[in-house]
Amino acid sequence: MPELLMLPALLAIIMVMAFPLAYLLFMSLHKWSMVGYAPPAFIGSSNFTALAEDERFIASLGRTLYFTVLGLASNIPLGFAIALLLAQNFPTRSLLRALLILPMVATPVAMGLVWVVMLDPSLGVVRYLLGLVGVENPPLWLSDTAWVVPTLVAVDAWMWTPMVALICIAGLAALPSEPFEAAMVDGASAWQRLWYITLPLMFPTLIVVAMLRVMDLLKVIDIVYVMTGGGPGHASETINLYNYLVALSYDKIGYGAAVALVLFALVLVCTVVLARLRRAAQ
Amino acid sequence: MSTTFTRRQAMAVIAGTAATLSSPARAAGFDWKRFSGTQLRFMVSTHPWTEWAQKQLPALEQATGIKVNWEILYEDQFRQKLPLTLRSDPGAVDGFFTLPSWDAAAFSRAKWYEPLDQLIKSDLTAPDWEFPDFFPNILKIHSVANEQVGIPITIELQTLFFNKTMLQAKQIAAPKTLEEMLAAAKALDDRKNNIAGYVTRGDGVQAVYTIAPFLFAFGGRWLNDKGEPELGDKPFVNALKFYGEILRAAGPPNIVGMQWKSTYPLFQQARVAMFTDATNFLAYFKDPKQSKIVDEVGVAPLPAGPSGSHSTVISWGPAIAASSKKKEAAWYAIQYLTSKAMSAASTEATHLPPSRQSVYNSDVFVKSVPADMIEAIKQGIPNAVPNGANPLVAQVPEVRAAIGTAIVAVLQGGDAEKAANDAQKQVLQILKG
Repeated sequence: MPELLMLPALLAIIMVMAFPLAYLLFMSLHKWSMVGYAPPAFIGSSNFTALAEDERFIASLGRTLYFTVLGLASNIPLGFAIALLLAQNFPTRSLLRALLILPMVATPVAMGLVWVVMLDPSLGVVRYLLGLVGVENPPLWLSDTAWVVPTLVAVDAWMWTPMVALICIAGLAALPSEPFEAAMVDGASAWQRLWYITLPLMFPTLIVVAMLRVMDLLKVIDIVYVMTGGGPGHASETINLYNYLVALSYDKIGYGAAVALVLFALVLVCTVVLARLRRAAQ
Repeated sequence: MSTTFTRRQAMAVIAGTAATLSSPARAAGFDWKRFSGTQLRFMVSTHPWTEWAQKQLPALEQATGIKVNWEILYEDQFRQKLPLTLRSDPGAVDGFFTLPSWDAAAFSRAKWYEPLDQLIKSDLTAPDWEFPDFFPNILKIHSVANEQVGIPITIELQTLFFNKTMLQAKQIAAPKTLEEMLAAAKALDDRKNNIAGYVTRGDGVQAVYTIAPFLFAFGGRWLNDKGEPELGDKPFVNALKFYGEILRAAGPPNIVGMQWKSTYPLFQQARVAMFTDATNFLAYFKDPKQSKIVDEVGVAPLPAGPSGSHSTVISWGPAIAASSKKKEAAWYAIQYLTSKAMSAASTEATHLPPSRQSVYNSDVFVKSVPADMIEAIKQGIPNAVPNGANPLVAQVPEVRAAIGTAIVAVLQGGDAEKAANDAQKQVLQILKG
């Protein structure tokens, strides 16, 4: 019975994946408080119907999608451009590649706090630097409801674009050289080579990067929690942060589980769509 | 010079009381070793007092024979782990740290507090522990339905801090009324030089704490006698209007969403003339390593509104878990750590205002804190609202978020009346469950 060889792996998957998910589903069907000794009460799908009327939840859902789209739109082109640059041969290349990793290895919480200080309009260095190049009265990055999400995306991009770049560098290094040589013989310009050869060949790699980033962006919580706490008001509250607050701060475990399930479904759908895209590209 | 003097004075007081504590006469009167050999588990959050107390555990063990496992957790983590442990493993935790303005409604509904009145009156309490020595208004913080559930260790009052140099430069005295405060803030605001007139919290959830004194100054309260919110009423609307007006006119440009971790550095770095928040912040302003205003910080009672000046007062403190099987021993441990001698020692170590009158009036405290702070606290205590930091409900975090939305709305220039009514509706709904 060779199928039996799968059993250990299957058991491990059931334990670490299927069980928590099933338990989450179970919790989401209950009214559940940690305070006191009352047992969880079964309430059917009430938590989910309540979600449909929860303005804060709906707003956080939309905001998370906005965050994700902005994140992808900035990370991928920027990371790819950096990769193209660092794939070239020039003297300080290795040093630059090493430096690139720095924002990524730093703890997001610590970096979030550093950015809060740098962006402060009274004490921060950003305003000062912008002043040097003639920008007076820059936006109030973290206090302006219109600017707060793009600002958080920028900090997130500062931290994670290097990862996109590194994966792209690896992807570029693995590309076959023949198509490029053939194109050069045929007299294709650098732009044409990029557009007609590099990009199509890199597409699967870019989809993988996008998949990794989408998963992280949809679940973003650390820098938001540290930098704004979801504020001003709820203007930067992402779904994961709302989930955390509802379940652990507002003591609504069942309702929090319902939010978590929606987030899980969202991440799953996005990942599946991207995986399909990748398969289609190949 | 003054530091040496303080230390020596303090040590003398501590040594004196410690000697009484271990004297045979005292031991004969009260059997500290009655629960010798007991092991206890206390779950507490990070706080200067809990960190100080951890260092006293060897002495506690020596004096009582009780071994205490003192589990210190960060506040966020603590707020999650404590309910989880109390609920899922009754008896696992014997004592815990509690902040009644946050916990009392939920914890008393859950029956997690062991009532202390019987213990305090019984022969399990050392005669010289002296319960009446605590400030009566501070004891109320840890009292639920007239039953003591915890022992307050410090006094966290809100007060007005001001930059003496900035006020003197414009010949402005520390404001005594809200009108004076508004006028002073506007006069001191100097946008061109990046100096604000006044700052306090602008983050909705956090600002519920700092707007509370304004609510009380306008004659309001969080809840009526039936426990229903009174947010749609005039006082809260007026408080919102005032908060919005003064901070929009004279606050830092990024006031919206500002948490305390961003407000106090502005005052500390001489970027703002006036600041209101907890008295605890004094330590940050007096620390020459980080503060630019060590000698310039002034302290005054909160300016009065039409209904006077009413600060909020809160206090962390140890409590006994109702599910503990070693309550008497836990009471011994708490008693030991909150005795007069220990209160003096912790005040000496933390500089936090003590909840015991004898220590408050002793040199230990008087010499460790500036005179104007002593005076401000003294004036503040009798009129302060115990646990006034937010409505005393079981759903504090959620209710704070709803009230916070109203505060943020007025800071953004929104209509105070509408914001107040929205908050009233939301809070009513949250309380309905």
